[in-house]
Amino acid sequence: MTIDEMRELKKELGFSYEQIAKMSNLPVGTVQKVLGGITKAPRYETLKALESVFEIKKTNMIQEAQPAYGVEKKQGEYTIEDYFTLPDERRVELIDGVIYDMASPTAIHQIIADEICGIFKNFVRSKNGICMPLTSPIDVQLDCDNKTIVQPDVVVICDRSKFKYGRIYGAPELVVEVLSPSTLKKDTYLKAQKYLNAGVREYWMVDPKRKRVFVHQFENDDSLINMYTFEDEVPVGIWNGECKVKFREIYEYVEFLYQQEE
Amino acid sequence: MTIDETNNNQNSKGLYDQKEQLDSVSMVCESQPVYGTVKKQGEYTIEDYLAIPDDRRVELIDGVIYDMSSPTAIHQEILIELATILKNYIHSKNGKCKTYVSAFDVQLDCDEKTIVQPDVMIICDRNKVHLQRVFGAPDFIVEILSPSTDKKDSYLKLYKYANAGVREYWIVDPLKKRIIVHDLENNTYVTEVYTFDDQIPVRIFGGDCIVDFHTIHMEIEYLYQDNEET
Repeated sequence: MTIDEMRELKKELGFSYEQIAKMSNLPVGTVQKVLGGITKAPRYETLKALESVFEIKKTNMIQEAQPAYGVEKKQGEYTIEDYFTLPDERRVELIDGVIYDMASPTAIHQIIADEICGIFKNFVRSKNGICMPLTSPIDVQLDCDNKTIVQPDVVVICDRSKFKYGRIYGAPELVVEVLSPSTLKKDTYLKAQKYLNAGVREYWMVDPKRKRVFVHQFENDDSLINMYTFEDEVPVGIWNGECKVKFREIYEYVEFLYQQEE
Repeated sequence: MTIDETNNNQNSKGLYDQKEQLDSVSMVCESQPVYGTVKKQGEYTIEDYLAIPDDRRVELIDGVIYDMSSPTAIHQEILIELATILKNYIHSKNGKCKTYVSAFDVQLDCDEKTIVQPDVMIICDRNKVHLQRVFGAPDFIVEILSPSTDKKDSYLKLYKYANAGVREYWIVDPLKKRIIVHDLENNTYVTEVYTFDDQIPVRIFGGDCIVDFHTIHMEIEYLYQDNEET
């Protein structure tokens, strides 16, 4: 790496001479003289120490999407306007200005989501409740801003004033994502964080491959995260466990598709 | 020349010059990034972090400053036990990886907005380790939960670590006596849940190193009894 390149990187990363000195264990004066071009021929050790500061590995970002349709924007800069101008056949989500392509759901994926939603619906009906369970595709403007639109597999909305502009405006009470290999990383790390911050009360991650269900009860400090298998009955926290999803029955219902896959 | 002298100066031009000088001096002072100046959460940088008095333990994540609680005895025992097992394993293999315990600063994203202090970490690329701090993502991280940090450790840090390139992340929950292991490597992203009586393989070492949590559990059992009595 040349001194010019280091100078460029210094600008890019916004480092001060003092920070570089600290990170490279060199005296500030030396750093200033070398990067300032006063010392024309610095010692090899000095150069190596400086280089080590600037040798930054590219972080592997959580990103799935190709550059977006027709628009010359960078990931992170997209808004809901861009989202709505995308052709309908391209299924995407927008999270913090980044566009993520969504894989088409498999039959197993779709049936599990439908079954869970059906159980929620039956429960609400039996109680004459006002909550509305919905399956994808439904746009959720999670943070009520123009940087994020998600399409969770199943949502439960209990505050009907959140139906706005033909989409959900704000955080659902409960979100279920059925994981697929291509969305695993996004659903596990990025969306869990987004849902927690947006005020979602409960988040289920259903993993058909490992036959497991992770339940995050963001309001319940005593049992924040619980893991279940496809043999278990999973209680719905927002309904105080009165409604239970019998995953054994759902699994038996889709088992023939697992056999096909084998 | 003092201010009084300036005020007494009949030459209005001189008075103007002097005032302007004073103004510019005070403006320079105000714009210095000093700890205690008015900044919002999300705007803090490493300079602010380093200017915080040493007795206040904090982390900086995406420009937000988070206070850290003082660790409990259970927390400290688990930390030492785990670090010892990891260190002994690496020694026995003559490995080059290094084990560190809190409080050692990690400049996770190599930027100005984030400095974390993981409870236990392993770093295999020694170039990342500088005298003052770690520059880049550790290979392996353990966080031991306390009630005040559980959401930060379970969601925010999980997201940050996954993004930064950490390969494996353990979250030890002393209250529920379980360990959530996140394998962040190889595009599989496996999450496993273990109890305090399980044997847990360290995946970055190919499962060759196994942490017998039962032994650790026995070591700290007396602290739980103490809690029940009080």
